Amino acid sequence: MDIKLFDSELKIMEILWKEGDTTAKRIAEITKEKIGWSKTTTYTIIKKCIDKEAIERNDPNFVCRPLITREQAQEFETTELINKMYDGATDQLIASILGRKNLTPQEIDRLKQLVDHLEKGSL
Amino acid sequence: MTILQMSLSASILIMVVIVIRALALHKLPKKTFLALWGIVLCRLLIPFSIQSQFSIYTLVEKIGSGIMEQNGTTTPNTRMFPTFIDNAGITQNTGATLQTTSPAVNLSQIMLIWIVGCIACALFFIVTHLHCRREYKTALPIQNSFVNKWKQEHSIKRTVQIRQSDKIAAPLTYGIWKPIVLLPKTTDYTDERRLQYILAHEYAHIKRFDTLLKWVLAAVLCIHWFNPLVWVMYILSNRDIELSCDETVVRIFGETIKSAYALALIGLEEKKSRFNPLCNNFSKNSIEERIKAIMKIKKTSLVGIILALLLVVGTSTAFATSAQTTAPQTAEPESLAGQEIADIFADFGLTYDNTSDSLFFDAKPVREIWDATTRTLYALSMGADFPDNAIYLITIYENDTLVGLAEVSGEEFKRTLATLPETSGEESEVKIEECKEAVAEEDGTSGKKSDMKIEERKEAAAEEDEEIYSLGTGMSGFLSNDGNGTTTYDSTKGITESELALMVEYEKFGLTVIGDAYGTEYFYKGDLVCFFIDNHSGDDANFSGIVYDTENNGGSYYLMAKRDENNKLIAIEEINAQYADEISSWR
Repeated sequence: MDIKLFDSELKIMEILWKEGDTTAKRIAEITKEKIGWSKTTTYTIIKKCIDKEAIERNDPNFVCRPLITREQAQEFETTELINKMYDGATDQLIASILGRKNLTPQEIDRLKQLVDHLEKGSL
Repeated sequence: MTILQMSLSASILIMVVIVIRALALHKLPKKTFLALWGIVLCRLLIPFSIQSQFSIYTLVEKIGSGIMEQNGTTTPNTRMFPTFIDNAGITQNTGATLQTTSPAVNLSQIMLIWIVGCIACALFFIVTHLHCRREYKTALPIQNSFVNKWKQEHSIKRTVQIRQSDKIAAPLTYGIWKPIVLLPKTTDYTDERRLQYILAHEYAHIKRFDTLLKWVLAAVLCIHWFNPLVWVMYILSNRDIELSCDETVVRIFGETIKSAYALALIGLEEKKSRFNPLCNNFSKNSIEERIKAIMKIKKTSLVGIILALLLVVGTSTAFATSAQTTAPQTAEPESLAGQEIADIFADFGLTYDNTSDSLFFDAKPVREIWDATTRTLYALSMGADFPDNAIYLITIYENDTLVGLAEVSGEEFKRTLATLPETSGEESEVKIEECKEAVAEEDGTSGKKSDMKIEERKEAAAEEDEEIYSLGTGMSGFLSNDGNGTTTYDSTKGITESELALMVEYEKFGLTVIGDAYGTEYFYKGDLVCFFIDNHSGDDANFSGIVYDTENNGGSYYLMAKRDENNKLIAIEEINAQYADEISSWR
């Protein structure tokens, strides 16, 4: 799933991930309230998402359904970040994150478990 | 004032501003240049101008007329060449439209090209802007405490929004009434100092309505798209808007931040954004100039401010105004010219009557006044319709001072006119020689012949009032003929070069054009011509050119100009009277 989504498009996706299938009209209401976009602006962005096949349009009522999950979008963004900044090496990214030293002991424990899990899975 | 005239006069102003800018960019407050560009904008947009005696054009006119007077004669009023008839058959009394093709067609074609250019330019700006605008609208609000705090501390009357977009690389501001500052997603919100500079810069744009100014600049560019100097102005003024904003930021934060601010600029320049001509871009064009300008900002001294003010006022009065006209170009130039002549000689008894549009001296109507000292012929271009008691006047000088006017006979007047100026010059030297011969011969036998012709014409005029039907124009003395076929041109008497060129052409084929107080006469083989036609268009059905048609001037020649397919005059042919009648019905 190679879809590059701009921030504005991600905002729409977030609404869909949170609320499930939503009419375009309702999305426009939410964005107007939260972000201050006009109806046309929101519709333009929805159309972009449809073009990118991130959203499926179902008539009547212009109901929007997300075609990609939050995890897929996250994965794409992460892959792009790794490729762009860390030469495609995932460990370098992890090292960089760990190096920020703002992790709580609980977070570190969870990471340890995750690594253990990955090791067992790969064997 | 046409667009072209506006463009041309503004061009000079633009060049002046460019020079001032190049010389004093780092020495004067940047607002000076904005003010200068403002004057240029006014010049480019406002279709009329204020007259000023301090205008550079007044000076040019003075120098110009000085030279003219030294060289010979200037006629104060319009001297007209034989009647021109355009395609539509409308009689035009102007030598300026001496063109083979119909001027109306040319003009509308140029107009069309101009309008197409304007629309193309405007479309470019609007389409680019709307495209960007649509992108900008998808920007997201910023949840940053520092930005929110800044917004509260720097509130202005209009509500300003600060938003963030991942589609731009450098900060920008758009919107006039509801301005929006856009920051790129890459903005480092932790670097509060740099953020401060960026916001201060964008707020300076907002406070000064720079977006509006940019719209005006773009509009001017659309109108004057054909003028390369206006493009230069557009680029430089856009830069100066940024420079001035930079200056404001440095003034706010103090000179010590100069280098930090310059570094912030360089940082932004690295991520240069896409082109949108109508937004206030934080980093755009000529970053080097900006950095230099920032580093050279100094406290403005009182001297600097005074200098800047003088420069702006001086430039606007000298270059943005038009010449104080001595000959007003209104709908009735001739009647005004008449009043002017009267004003010149008011002390010596010359009066002007507005209703009959004629000059009076000693209760007698005046045909012409000849000032031999300034070599100026004063006359109303009314032509032949003077009553019998109309008189000629010459000026009387004592010790180089005008002391009065004197009445002279027609013959005496002609002789005085033929007296030559004492100026030299490569070209006029030849003419002087020719003229001297003419004068010498006039004293002899041939002079009588010439006088005789005048008598003949006078008689003819008495017989037939409407004799010269298409030529109401006086062309006094721009050609003089000694009656022997030798013709002398006096190019200083207010006829255009194209007219003169045409006369020279005719002369080659033995046709001589003489204009004098009685109107215009054509001579061929030493005798009067009563009909002459020259169709410039080369198309019988589509007449454009000269028709000289008198029924009863005693002339015996009916002539027609022959032109080849390249419209070059190749011959002047005699035609019979019947054919002449037929041709004249073409119109």
